[in-house]
Amino acid sequence: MALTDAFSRSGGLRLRQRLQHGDLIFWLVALFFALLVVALLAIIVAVTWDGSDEARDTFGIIGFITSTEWNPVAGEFGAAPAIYGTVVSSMIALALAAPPAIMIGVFLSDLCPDRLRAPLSLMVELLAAIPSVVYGMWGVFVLIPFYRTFIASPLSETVGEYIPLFAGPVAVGRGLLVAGMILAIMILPTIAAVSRDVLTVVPTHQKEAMLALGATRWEVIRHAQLPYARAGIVGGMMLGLGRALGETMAALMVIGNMPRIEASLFQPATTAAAQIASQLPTTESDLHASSLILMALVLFLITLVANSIARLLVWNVSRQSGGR
Amino acid sequence: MSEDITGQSRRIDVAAAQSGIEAESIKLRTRDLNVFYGSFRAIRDITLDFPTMQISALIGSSGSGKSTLLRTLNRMHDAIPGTSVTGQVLLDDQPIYGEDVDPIMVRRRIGMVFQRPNPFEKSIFDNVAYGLRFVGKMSRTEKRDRVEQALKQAGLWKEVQDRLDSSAFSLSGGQQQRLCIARAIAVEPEVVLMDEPTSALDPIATQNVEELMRELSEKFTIIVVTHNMQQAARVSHTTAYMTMDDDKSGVVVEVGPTGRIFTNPKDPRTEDYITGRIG
Repeated sequence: MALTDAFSRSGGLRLRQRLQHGDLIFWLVALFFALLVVALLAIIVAVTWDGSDEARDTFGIIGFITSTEWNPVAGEFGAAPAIYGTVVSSMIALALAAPPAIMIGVFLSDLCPDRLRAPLSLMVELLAAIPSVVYGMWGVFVLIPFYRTFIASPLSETVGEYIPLFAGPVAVGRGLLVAGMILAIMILPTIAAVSRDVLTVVPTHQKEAMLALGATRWEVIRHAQLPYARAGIVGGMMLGLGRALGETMAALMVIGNMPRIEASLFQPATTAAAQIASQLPTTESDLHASSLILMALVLFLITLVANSIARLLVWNVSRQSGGR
Repeated sequence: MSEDITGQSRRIDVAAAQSGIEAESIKLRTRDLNVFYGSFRAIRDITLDFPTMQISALIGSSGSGKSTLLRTLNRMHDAIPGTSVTGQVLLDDQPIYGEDVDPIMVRRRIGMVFQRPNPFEKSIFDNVAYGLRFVGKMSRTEKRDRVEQALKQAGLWKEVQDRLDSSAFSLSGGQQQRLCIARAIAVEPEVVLMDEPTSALDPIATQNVEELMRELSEKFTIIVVTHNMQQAARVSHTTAYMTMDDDKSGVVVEVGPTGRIFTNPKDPRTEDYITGRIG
């Protein structure tokens, strides 16, 4: 379609000129690679759809995502525990990461001395470059022992008696909360970097208007910059959420990998990505494999929605900041 | 150079006394004021007096340092790294660049209106009420009264009284600028600085704002930067002409009562500028 449009627009003479100069060939090559991305996405959806055929026939999509039973030996496959673990651990991560990340963004955009800004920004961005398996290892050797001794055990032995959210036993410490903590550190740089960027583009005239009214530096940030940048910051949070939802290795190493839904945040759980990664190499049956593929499709849809919302919000901010 | 200007400013005082305006009432003064952006000297040895409850206009071509001078008067440059100020600015004879002076308090006494209308993304009411939160706690009715009073002073009340909750962006450009004026005067400053307040407005809106400036000069000391010489001639009591002099920017060439500056300029450079030969 696009091809015929291009031909009819350019007309006969122009077409010959374009052929002579090689422009048309260049255009076709570029178009091919651009379409390749779209094709790749379509192929992934088609393959997961096709591969999950058996699971969809057996449980139905609704049945699959609402069933809490995951028993490969008995041939029972329900995705609810994995979806629950994915969403809850990501939400914990977002709740823990967002406040400090926004503060980092404010510091880097407005309060930081010029000499410190570039090195500090780089360090924050380097946090995102650490491989997730390293985060997972750090979680196992450093975070979990600390968390078990100073957070999980004291809480479960005191308020845990009355509040199911913090109920014990803690055991080795692997579970939802500690997975959320690891994910929080991993998404912190994303949120901080986006916050910094959207705060930097707040127009000077908005800040000056506030300053001229007798506002302090904090009041300018609080009343002029944060409200103006709000949509972009929320977008950054959604980008972070998208990363947390799809994160596999670090979560796999600290969450405990039990397909159960428990009220307590200290109990082992699983995420969709961790479950796929740990079970796909050793499937019990074709139905097992097919169920894992269906879970991949569900996970893909969740992250697609989260990322779409994020892009929309960030895009809105950058578009507006040009106009005003 | 500075002696020359001091001499000239004495001359205005005489002229002002002759025209029946109290000469001794000076709200804001600058003394040998210099502003540097890094090593660039943006204004040089400026000594000027701004009389109380009058409109003073700063005119001159682009790059002459008018806006820099204006923004130095309420310490708006403080936040910009690399800016330094020497000399003095005195508000009621108190130095505003003194070591123990809080720039926040200076800006509460010296408000500012900008070149482009810059309302916040809030309702009309909230825009005007916004500065009041920095002044101190006040009751809801007190707040309403202050907002209403400010909008009336800005000549906007009749147009917006039925839609105080609509967005400030629903107003026209001229209305937005008067809203920004209302926002600035709601906190009851003593001096209002205006940086080319009508350059983004159409002629009718410009006329409204000029009328408003004259009314406001009964309550506030107003200092306005303008590119528009007719505007300076129409609204101001005193005019200072600034220029880039021999590649040096930020020099005050001549200052005096507006009528005299426009009818009988003493400096040939002023005459060239106001008759349109340069600029």
